[in-house]
Amino acid sequence: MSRISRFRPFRVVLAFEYLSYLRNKVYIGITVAMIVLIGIGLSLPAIIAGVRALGLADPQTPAQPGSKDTVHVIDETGLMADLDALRQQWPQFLFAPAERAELDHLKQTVHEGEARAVLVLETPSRATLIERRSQDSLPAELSDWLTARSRISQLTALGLDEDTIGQILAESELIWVETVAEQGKATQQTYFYTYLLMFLLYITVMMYGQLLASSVASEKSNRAMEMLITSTRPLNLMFGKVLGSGLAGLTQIGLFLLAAAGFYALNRAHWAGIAFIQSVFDMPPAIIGYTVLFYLLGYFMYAFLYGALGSLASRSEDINTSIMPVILVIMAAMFISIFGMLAPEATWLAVFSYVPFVAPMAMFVRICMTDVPGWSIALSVALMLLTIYATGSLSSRIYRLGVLMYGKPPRLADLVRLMRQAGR
Amino acid sequence: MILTVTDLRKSFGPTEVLKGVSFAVEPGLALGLLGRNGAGKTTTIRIIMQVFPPDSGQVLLDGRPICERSIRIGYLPEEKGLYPKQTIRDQLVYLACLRGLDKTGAKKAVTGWLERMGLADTLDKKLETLSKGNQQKIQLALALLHDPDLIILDEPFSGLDPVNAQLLKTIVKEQAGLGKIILFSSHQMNYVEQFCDSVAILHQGQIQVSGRIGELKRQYPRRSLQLRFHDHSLPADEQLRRIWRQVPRAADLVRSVASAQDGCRVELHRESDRSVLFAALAAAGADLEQFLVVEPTLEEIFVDKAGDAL
Repeated sequence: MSRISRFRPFRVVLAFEYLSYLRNKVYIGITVAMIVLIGIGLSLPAIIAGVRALGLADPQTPAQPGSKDTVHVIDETGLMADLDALRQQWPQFLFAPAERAELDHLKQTVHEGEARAVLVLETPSRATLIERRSQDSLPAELSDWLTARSRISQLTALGLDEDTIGQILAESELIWVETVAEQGKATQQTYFYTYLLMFLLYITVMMYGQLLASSVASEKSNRAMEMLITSTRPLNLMFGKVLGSGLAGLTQIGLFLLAAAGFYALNRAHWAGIAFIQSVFDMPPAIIGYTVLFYLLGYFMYAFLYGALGSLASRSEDINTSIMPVILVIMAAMFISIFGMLAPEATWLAVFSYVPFVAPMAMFVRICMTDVPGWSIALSVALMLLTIYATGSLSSRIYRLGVLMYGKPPRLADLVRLMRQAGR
Repeated sequence: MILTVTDLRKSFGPTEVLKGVSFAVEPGLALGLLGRNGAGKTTTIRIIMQVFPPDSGQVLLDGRPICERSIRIGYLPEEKGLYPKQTIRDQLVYLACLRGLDKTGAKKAVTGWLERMGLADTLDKKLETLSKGNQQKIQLALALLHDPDLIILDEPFSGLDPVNAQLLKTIVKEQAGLGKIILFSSHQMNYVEQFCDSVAILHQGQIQVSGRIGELKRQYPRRSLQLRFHDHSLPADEQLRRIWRQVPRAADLVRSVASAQDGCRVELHRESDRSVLFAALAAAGADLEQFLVVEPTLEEIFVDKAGDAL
């Protein structure tokens, strides 16, 4: 048999599997729904702006605060001669003067939701905000505002004019941070895109692995397998299926990334000033390349195992039991990588980035968040390729036996015995 | 082209499934591979199909190992099934391509065979929308659409009504006429007798008997008789019992008596007792209208050779 004809059945299986995904209504539905969601999410500021432009909402006229928005102010410092400054700063609240004697009663009204908060200015350097529960950034904003106001008041008491005070306060910000890390990895904002992409890797590897296992098991349960294994070699079936599903996953990832990039480009002006969104879309282009690389490495590493374990299940209902060990390993890899994101320079994460089944995510985290030397990436990728080769050949042996087995999935000991026999 | 299976042996774990299976199938002649459940038929077929190798023994095509020959095999498995959610066209073209046809050739063959089967209007329907019989016909079309040299049909009649069984018979005869090698496996002996020229009865991993059906029947001891009396007022078996009372020696020759249409069926212990019984009946003055030696059926041969646990 010629070399070309030997590969033809593999190509036929690959094309059939890939096209089956592309024609599958669930696949199309999920892809379209996700693209619509990405589109809506990234167009939300534009949509809101559009709604406002149509006059359906008027941002210039904020809703008038009601009694439940009252902030009672007990000023024992004299810092707030009147409450106008507070009212100008936070027009959404009603600031009302109060006395310490009323404090218990006012706390009660806050507790019952009748008032928003009580602000007690005890000394120029100490104030307490009493809220029902912490619910927004008001305390932090108040703290900054009151601190600045207290300083100005104290410096004014020392006889300084407003310009001098402004100069002193401005010069007190002594430290500007300048980083020399690789572009795009300088700030904590790498966290967002790393998290997003790692989660995308996790979901797609898991989802397509499970779809692959289900596909193999359903071919067994509907007995199409009888026709398949007598039409071509099991290896062609397995490799064609693995690659077909992987391509379908890659197509979906590609469409999601393209949709995200396209909708962001359309709405870029609306997202200016929102740092973490900008950080996601200003990620170094190489990261996209690494996403594809680690998706492929991770997918193939796990997909062969999914395919082999799927072949041991006789019915679709048995799939979950069969593939549970692989799911546990993927979840462990994800948790290790999520913890790794909190300490991307940690030695233990570096070690895990060479451990085959964890490496696709752990190394990806390191690459996204730190500067990883090229040799380190190459070593990790080489180890993953070796692992893919090993799982591929082990899985193909399991698959060859599994597709002909019906009934209860075999125990591990039975499987090892059968594989030894098959290898003879 | 002749298919020769020589001394096939295969074990799965401690279970020895095939213990030296040998038979040959000539082109243009269909061979029925018969056996009870678990006899080793499917294992034999899978070895011929090269799904797995035998532990020892060979499958030869014109004297050369089948794996070295580029031969097209059409297979209709016992456990039939395809993709229920896919259209007939998509899956048949897919499987035809896997069996070596190019896409254009596969589409043409699929259309042609479905027209032949009377299912041309189902091409773009999903398999699950078809009746069991029509699904069976789709599977048969699949086994044949790549113009195989060797056709293996495992229980092809399950789910087929008599009209479709006749269509299958026509197609099988047609393929045999084209010189194809046809291996047939079924439990329905009446169909095997109609479709096959020869049989191989497999029992517990060994061929018990094989050869042309006619020769097997001729070689098989003829111990069955069909008797009919001129006097139809009494049942034939009752008339026989009266004769036994007159000639008790004759009763000892007989294993069983069962009433049959217009007479009774008598099973002897030995073939050689036929003439003794005839003489005894004549001596007793039996008014016989018919004393017919009945040719054994394939089912009787099968039960005799593979029915030890019955």
